[in-house]
Amino acid sequence: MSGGSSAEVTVLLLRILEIPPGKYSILERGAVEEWDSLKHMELIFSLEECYGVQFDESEFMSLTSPAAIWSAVQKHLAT
Amino acid sequence: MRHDLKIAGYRFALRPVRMDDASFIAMLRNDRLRTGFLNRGAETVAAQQEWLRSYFSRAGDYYFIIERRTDHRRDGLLAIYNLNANRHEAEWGRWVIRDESTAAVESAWLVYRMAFDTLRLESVYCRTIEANGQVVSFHDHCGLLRSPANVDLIVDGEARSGIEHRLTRHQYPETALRLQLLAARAARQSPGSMP
Repeated sequence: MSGGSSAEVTVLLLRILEIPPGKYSILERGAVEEWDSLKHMELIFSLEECYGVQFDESEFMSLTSPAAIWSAVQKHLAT
Repeated sequence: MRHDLKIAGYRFALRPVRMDDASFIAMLRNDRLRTGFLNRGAETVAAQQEWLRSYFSRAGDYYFIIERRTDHRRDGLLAIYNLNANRHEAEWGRWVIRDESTAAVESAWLVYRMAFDTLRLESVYCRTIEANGQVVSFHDHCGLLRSPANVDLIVDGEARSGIEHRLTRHQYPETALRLQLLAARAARQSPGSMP
């Protein structure tokens, strides 16, 4: 992916979690039943491949929404 | 039952529950009671110790602590129980993990290794309250098969609709590989994890 945005993360998230667009009004990990622990790990590694970043394990559990994910991606891209 | 079964993965290991884990078990389970997905069980350390005394004398019940390998921090609990020696099957559950822990995937891999490689079971099943959507989804995504009909589960005396998932020895390698690959990759990003 080039550029990037929270919206772009949302698209990736819906694809990985196999959620039809519009099923959830808010994408927060605690509120999305498909966002289980296994899918969370797959999502993290897909994000890393998409953006060429590597999250630290200590960040894994804070990646709980498109905005939080995009913020973490931006932080890594800036360093 | 008292047992000495241990198994280690990349970042986490399973070791037998001990009496001195009573306060941790009570703390973790009480913390999760708010979810409504667990039996209330032993709410105090003394009650948990009493429960453990009974557990230690009960056959076919293997209760484990999920601990971090680097510093032995206790990250969660799980158990293999209701062992049926004739059918070579057992249930697994009592799965509770600290909120901030990333042990879910690796601990599931470890419990299946324990069930199939160590205990030589032919199948394991788990029963989850249907409303516990993320755990139901986890088992679905691991490739476990759902039973055709929902099961009735009793939680704190209340009947709840449950989903039963099952993993057979035939399906085990595929599920184990999927979990192992994710656990291994996560371990590469964890300082101090073991090879």
